[in-house]
Parts: sequence; C-alpha cells; structure tokens
Amino acid sequence: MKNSVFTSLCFLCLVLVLSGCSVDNDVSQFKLNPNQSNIDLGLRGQMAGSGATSQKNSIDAWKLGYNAYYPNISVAYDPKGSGGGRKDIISGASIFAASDKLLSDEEIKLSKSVCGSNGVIQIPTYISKIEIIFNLDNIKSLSLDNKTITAIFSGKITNWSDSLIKLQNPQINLPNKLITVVRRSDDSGTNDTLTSFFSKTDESLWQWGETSSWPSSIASLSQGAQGTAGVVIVSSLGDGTISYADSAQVGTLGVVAMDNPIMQISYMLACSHYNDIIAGQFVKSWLGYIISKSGQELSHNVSNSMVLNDSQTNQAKKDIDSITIGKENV
Amino acid sequence: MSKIGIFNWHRLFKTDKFYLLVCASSLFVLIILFAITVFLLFSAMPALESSQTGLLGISWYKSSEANNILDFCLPLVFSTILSSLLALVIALPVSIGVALFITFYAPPKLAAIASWVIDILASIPSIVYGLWGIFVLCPFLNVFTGNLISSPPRVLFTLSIVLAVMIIPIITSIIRDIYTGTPHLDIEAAYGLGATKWEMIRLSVLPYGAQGAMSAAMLGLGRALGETMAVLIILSPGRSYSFNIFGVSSHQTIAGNIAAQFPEANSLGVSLLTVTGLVLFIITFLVNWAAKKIAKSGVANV
Amino acid sequence: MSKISSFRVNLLSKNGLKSKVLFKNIKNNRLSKFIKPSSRVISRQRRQFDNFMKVLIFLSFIIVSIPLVSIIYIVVANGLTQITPYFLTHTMKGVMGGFSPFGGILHALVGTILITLGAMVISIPIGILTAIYLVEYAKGNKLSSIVNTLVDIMSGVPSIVAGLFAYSLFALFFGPTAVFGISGSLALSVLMIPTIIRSTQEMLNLVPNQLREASYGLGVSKFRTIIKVVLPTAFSGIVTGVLLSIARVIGETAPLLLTAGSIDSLNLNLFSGRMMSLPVYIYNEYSQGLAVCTNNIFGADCLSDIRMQRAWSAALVLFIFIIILNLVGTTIKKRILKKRGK
Repeated sequence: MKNSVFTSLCFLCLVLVLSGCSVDNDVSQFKLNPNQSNIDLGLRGQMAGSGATSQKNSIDAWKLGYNAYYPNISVAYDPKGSGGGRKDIISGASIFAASDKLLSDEEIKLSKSVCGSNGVIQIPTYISKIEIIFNLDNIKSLSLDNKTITAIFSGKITNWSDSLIKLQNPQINLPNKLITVVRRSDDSGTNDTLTSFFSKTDESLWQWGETSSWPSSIASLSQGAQGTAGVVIVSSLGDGTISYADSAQVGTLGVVAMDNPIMQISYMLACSHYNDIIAGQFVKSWLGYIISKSGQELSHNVSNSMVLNDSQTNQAKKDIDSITIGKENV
Repeated sequence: MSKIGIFNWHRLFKTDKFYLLVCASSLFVLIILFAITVFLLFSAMPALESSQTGLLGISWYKSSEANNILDFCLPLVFSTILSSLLALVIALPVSIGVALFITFYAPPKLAAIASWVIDILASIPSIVYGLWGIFVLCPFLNVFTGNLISSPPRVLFTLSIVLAVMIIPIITSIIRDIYTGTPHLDIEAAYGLGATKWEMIRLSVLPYGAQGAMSAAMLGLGRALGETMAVLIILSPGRSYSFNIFGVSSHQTIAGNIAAQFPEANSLGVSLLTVTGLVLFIITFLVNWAAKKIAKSGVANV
Repeated sequence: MSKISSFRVNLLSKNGLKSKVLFKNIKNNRLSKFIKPSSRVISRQRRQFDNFMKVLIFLSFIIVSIPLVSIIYIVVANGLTQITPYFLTHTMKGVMGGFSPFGGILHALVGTILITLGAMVISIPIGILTAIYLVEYAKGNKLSSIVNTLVDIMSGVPSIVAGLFAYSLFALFFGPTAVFGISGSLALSVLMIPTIIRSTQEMLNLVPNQLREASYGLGVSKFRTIIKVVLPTAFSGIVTGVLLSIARVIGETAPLLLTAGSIDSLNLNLFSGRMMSLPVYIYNEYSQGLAVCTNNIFGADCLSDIRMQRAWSAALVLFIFIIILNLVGTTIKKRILKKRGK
C-alpha cells in the first residue's frame, strides 16, 4: 500500500512538472493588455514586496495588469502594514514596498546602506479616502461631524444612543448599545492619517498626537485588529462596532457620511539603486506601469482611488528614471 | 577498562561502526538542544545588551512604554500564565469527568465513541481552533455579553475557553490510561464496603490517579502556554496586569506577541522577541520538568 | 487505609447498620463477612449524590462533544463549497481579489508535503537511531539518562520557539531576509524528533527479549540482530510512530509563518525562495478578509467571501489529512499493543 502511494505521488509530480503552467489560473478573460503584445524583456523570477494594507486591492489588480505585459514575473505582496513595509525596504527583505506614511529622516539614513546613496525613493501611487465604518443593526449610513468622531475614538462617547449622535441623526432609530471601537493594532500609516485628523479636529479631545501605533494609554478602550482586512472582519463580527478603513475595502459595512472626507496618499517605496539587474528592471517596469494611465485607471476602477494628476505623474516618472541598476555609476 | 568521561573509549574503538552511529545520533540530539539554546541566546544578545535608547528604536517597544526589557516582558508573562491557568482550571475537571466517563460510566459502545471524540479533538490543528473561536464562539458569547463588554468578546476569557478545549484531549488521554490501570482490588474493596459508584471512585480511583492527573495537568498547561495561532486570531492584544478576564485589549501572551510583531520587527526587534521566546522556553521547561517530577514520585509511591 | 476506616465510620453513622460486620482490610486477605449493599442500606442522600455525580460526569462528556460537533460542522459545511478538482490542482497565481478563477491550494499542498518530507529526512534517522541506542545499547548509563531528560525537554519546546530557532540559525548564515522551505523543515523536525524517539522506544521495548536472545544464541552480532531481527519486528510500530508525529506537525502554523513565508505560486525548491504551506495558507486567506466585489468592471464572477471559503476548504483538506494519519496510526498501534499482550 505504501509503495503505491509513493509511486502515485511521484507520478503526480511528474505530471505537474510536465504540464508546466496548467497549474496557474487563466486570466485572459480580464483582457488587461488588449492591444499591445507582451513586452516580457526576459524578465522572470519571484519579486517580493510588502507594506500597507490600504493599497492591497489595487495592488491585486496591478499584479494582473502587470503580468499581462510581463507574464513570467511572479509578484508576491505581503500586506503586513506600512511599518512592516518600511522596515523591509530598509533591510533589503523586500524589493519594493508600500507605505501610507513617508519615511522618517532616521529611516532614510538607515536605508542608504542597502538602497544606494540616495536611499529610498517614495512615489505616490494611490490616493484614496479613509472611511469611518460601523456595524449597527441594519443602518447603512450615519451623519457624524468631525468632533463627534474624535470624541468616539477618544473614548469620550461610549454609547450609540448618546444625545450628540442622536442630534445629528434625528430620523434614525439608534439602539442603546455600547460603542466598540476597533482600531489597527499594527504599525499603520492609516493610523497616522487618522490620528493626525483627530489632532487637527480637536486637540483637547485627542491628546495623543499623530502616531502610527495606537496610544497604549487608551488601548484598553478599544479592540485591535491586524491590517485593513482585520478591522473589517472584526467590525463585521461585532455589533455596535466602529472603525476606519480604506474606502475600497469596506464591504457591506455602514459608512459615516462626512463633509470633508479623510484623504490619504499612499506611496510605493523603491531603492534608488539596485545591484541585482533583474530586480532593478522589474521595479522600474512595475512602478512605471502603476503610474501609467492604464495602471491608474485600473486602480480607479477597482478601488475608486483618485488618478494621479499630471504633475504627480511627471515627478514620479522622473524619480523612476533616476533608479540606477547594476554597475551603473550612481 | 579505560573510562574517560561517559564513554568507555577502549571498548568504543574495538566495537562496530553501528554502535558509533547510534551513539553519534544520541549525541546529535544533545547537540540539537544545545544548538537551540545557543542560537536563541545568540539571537537574543543584541536586545539584552542594548540600552533603553537603543530599544526605543523599535516602534512597538516604544509604544509599549516599557522602562526596560524586564518591564517589557513581565506583562506578557503575566497574561500567558493567567490564560493558561484559567484554561487548566476549566479543562481539568472536564478531563477528569470524561476520563471517568470512558473508564467507569459509559457502556462499551459509548466509551468507544467518547475515546474517538477525544482523539479527533486532539487532531484538530490550532489554526482551525482559532477560526472556530472567532467565527463561532465569539458570536455565541456575544449573545450573553453583548452590551456589557466589547463586541465581539475577543478577551482572555474567550481565549481560555478555546485553550481549554485544546488541552482537554491531552489531559484526558493520559488520565484515562491511568484510571484504566487502577488496581482492581481497590475497586472491589470499595464496592465490598458498600460504596456507591461515585464513592468508589472517590476512594479508590481518584487518590490512585491523583499524581498522574497532576502530571497530566502540567503537560496540558505546557501546551497551553505555547499556543500561538488561537491567540493571534482571537485575542485583542494589550498590556496590563489586570485580572479582568473580560477586559478587552488588556492581555497578550508571549507566543501571540512574537507572531504578531515578527513581520514588523527589524533585527533588534527580532532579538527582543527572541528574549521573550527564551522566557517562554524557560517557563514551559519548568512546567514540564515539574510534570515529570510529579509523575516519577507517583510511580515510586506505588 | 485511613480512608476506608473513616468511610466505615461514616457508613455506620449514616445508616445505623443493624448487623455487626467485621470491616477488615480485605487487601490483607483476612476473613471478613461480606455484606451485599442492598438498596435499602444506601441512604437517599448518598444515592442522590451518586446520581448527581453521574449526571455531572455524563455532562462532562456532552461538554466535550459540543465543541467537537461544532468544529466539525463548521469546517465541513463551509469547506465543502470550494473542494473541487480545480481547487486541488491550481495555485493562487493570477487570482485577483474575489474574481473567478478562484484559484486553489496546489502550491500549499505541495509545499506542506515537501516541508514535511524535509522534516522527516532530518528527524527519522536521528529519532530511530537514538531510540535504538536508548533501548538496545545503553542500559541506564550516563549518556542515556542525559538523552532521556533532553528528549523530555525537547518535547516541551513550544512550536513558535522552534520557529524562532530555525529562523535565527538561517539568519546567522544567510542574513535576516533568509526565507526557505528547509528552514521550516528544521523547525518542524525539532517538534518531531522527541515524538519519534518516544514512540520508537515504546515499540522497540515491545519486541520480546526472547527474539534477541535467540538471535544472539545463533551467533549473530548485535548489529545484525538489530537490523535483521528487532527492527523488522518493530517496523510497523515505528512507522505508526512516524505517522503520528507527522500528524502532529503537519498542522503547525506558527513556525512556518516565521520561516517559510508565503507565496502565490508553486515552488518546488526547498532551498530557495518562499514556500506556501496549508496552515499558513489558511491563516493568509483569513487575514486578507473580504474581497471587493462592488466595482465589477471585469464582468467575471465575484464572491466577496471567497477567501473565507478557500480558508475553510483548505482547513477541511488539512483536517482530512490529519484525521487519516491519526486514524491509521492509532488503529495499527492498538492492534500492535493488543498483539503484544499489553
């Protein structure tokens, strides 16, 4: 019996190896490269990136779009959070990274030993809204002003039936339920954007400034979850939860209607110099695709992100062109 | 003959190569364990040697507001031990009950089913327990705790229940084997004195199996201490010495912390995590050693 | 003994037995007049308590069964949806969000098999040889007692610590970005070795000494005795031990998260690049959450909860693997133990 299991396993492996690409998924239906022939340029390999969870949805689409031109590159993206992405590009663990927050001076200094004497280049690739989301009975939308939102996340307002919320939503039947705040537990650029919004709204309510890690003094007033996907999952599981996430990934949760939406610019990080020729060529073509018209339109279509304007695109093109590869003089 | 150290070198050279091979293999086990300790210590050195300012470069260390490494590790140790002890308190009575059920109370078919239940529970991977915990247990508990604590109740209490379910099979299978081996004479003696079934168990079985049960409990405790995936998925992490097992974001275990922070950790960060890993290793070692000690002393008393 | 005598006092005081009975220590085989406890003798209080404990004990069985039924139900009910031949023969390469084609677990299956094979290659020789040493060669000498203690220590190593160890070993030689399948194999082998040693020891101890003595009596050397007589006799038991240890490590997620990483496509090389494994796949799919289906510009099928479906299906596949390994292992083991008259 054991012999036959072994031989059938060998046979399976043989079949797989011989059949080659029949294990990959056929994505020709997406027609992402309709009029141009494949470019390929001999680029092949496994390219690893990591970072922000906010861009995840667009990155998934970009991977497909990019593969339509370069089918032999396998892009692996690990959505571990902006902090993790920055750490990875500095240490050389990732070839490219995504972050909602720019590198600090200290981080740029550290990156110079791995990424070339100009350190890390940061290109805006994804401009999107941060929505305040909630899960409360079947309510699809609530009106809350900035101060109320800040008060809720600061732990000052603890029940959905609070008079301040009722005042702004007179026609909605608000139940007497505890507000469960769900926040990002990782080192998140979205936290940065949000906390800076809180600080600007009311510093007396939100006393903890702009920070990537949720302040530990009020940590026990809220639940933590890993990544954009994590807060969405936990918010969906709970009743009376309120959280925040990139607008592309909110799913069916209720969304707070705000006068001025919280905008977030998310960046792609790359080294200014790559010793590995293939890695350098990959990054240049990858970033080039992302900021191109087709890349930005694709992102807009799947994630509702804002397309980069002309000046942003031109600056990005300049930055990408400045990447040096291999033994070229830096 | 000439004995140097633990080997009889004279005999060694005269003997066949297979003996050398198996000796070498045993030595290799020694070496592996030695290597584990050495590599972990080596990896932990940078963090142990680093000053507070150096450590503050790690973003999650900074936001933990710890004053030194000890201050950083202690809340983790506290939560780890608290969650595991609570899991043990829940699991031990149930395990003893199931073991008694299988050995004394159940008709043969039901006993077979019960053994089968325990075996399958032991096979379930911890990731599945984690998923079950958050998708089934949390909403279930939410019905009762709804407006009182955070929703969903991703707190230490829920985690301890899942941990308890995880360690029940381990404890039960050991205790069941012990109870099956209760001397028949003791059982008959109790019945002969007019004991009811429960009194017989209380008289003959429980004292006989007490030491073994304690040893099994320690082994289960060791398992609960090292659990990672269930913690990662279920528990909302925090740092405090709170005994409030229903308080959200108040606890984080060592293993859960390592798994959660590892993706974001730079080399100093990994080093700090290895320090906590070593602490966990020491705690689990002490618990397992205690289990062995208790088991051995029990055997000696018979 | 004091318990029996105190019981006797309780019995007398609670029941007020009318007949005189000698409550002698039956263990010492002294003559004693036995009384058959008739139901009249046992007081209502004692009987009620006995029934109460009976209910509690039955209840504990129910308490244990509820999570099991719940877990099996949720894994099977949610997992069956995606288990298709396509799911088992395709990777996740090219899969975009919640859109069809929905991808599969081939790369995770192959990765799990390869990593476990690697762990087996490391731990089986060491485990079996060490067990042979402990049983056949060393009779209580210093090395064997040290090794015995160390095996116990090793069996208590938490899985995440084993992962940290493998990671730090490879990081020392290959830098902090070292991610390989073999690193995961090393971590798993740390968990497998103690289990294999213990179970092989148990099986070797079960081989009757007469076999060994007979072999020595025929003039066969120790080495050949072990290879030709003892091992073949204990063979099925050893295989069982290996199966059970595989079942134990195949579901380990934490060490593989740290060491082997995750990747969308098939990787057949243990020594280069990341390798996906089933448990890491499950965690990955779970942590990526809901897929976005609101902007369906492709017109393809889109399922927003596809990731959870894939996670449950992968969990079901993993579960079936482990159950089969455990069932085969334990049934053979029980048969062996029965044969050897244990």
